[in-house]
Amino acid sequence: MYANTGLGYISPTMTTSAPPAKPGRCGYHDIGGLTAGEIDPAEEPIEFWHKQNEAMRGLLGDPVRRMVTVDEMRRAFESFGEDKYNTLSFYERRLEAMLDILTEKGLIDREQFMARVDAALKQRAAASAR
Amino acid sequence: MSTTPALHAGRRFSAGDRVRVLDLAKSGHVRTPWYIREKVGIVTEWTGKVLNPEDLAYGRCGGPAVNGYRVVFDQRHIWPDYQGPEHDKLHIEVYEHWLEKA
Repeated sequence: MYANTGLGYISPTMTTSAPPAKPGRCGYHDIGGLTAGEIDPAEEPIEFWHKQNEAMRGLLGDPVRRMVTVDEMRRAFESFGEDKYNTLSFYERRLEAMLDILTEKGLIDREQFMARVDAALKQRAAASAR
Repeated sequence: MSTTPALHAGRRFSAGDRVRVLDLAKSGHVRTPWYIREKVGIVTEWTGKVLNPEDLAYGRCGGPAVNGYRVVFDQRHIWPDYQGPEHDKLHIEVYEHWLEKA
């Protein structure tokens, strides 16, 4: 049931037999000590948008703005649901969580935001075609 | 006589206390992993008073601040099938409202 979330860590000194019963009242992200299969040691290449994403988070969460705190982001991605949580990469998860919090606070409208993203992508595609 | 009584005021636990971690049915963002719930450990030190991440997760940043403690557990107590040496320990920080005297 808890196998192969791709996120777990198991100590080499522990057996890989069934983990102790996990209480029902904790989140799907709470996977410490559970069997998780092989760990892929490959580094995820850092892309420019990852840095932009973190820079924006830093500004939105600074002591002046306090619009998106790290704790709020954690709460957001811990309520994605297990499938979405495990499908997204680290930075995708953080971006999605940031958008959820900004949407929740009424600071952005998700549809308007996506429309602007689409427009920007079209503009970029047109520019590179010239 | 302690020269810093104010620093200790309001703390429910001290180093050496035996404590049990509660299994609070708290949703949202919590920092107490499943595997230490209902386990018994020993407080080793007070880690400070900080705003509660469980409140911060909902944008409530006005406090109150909560006490935190470093608690030590025997690995064999936490993991029944633990294969490492008997003296192996887990040191972990736990917020005060997740603890009771054991």
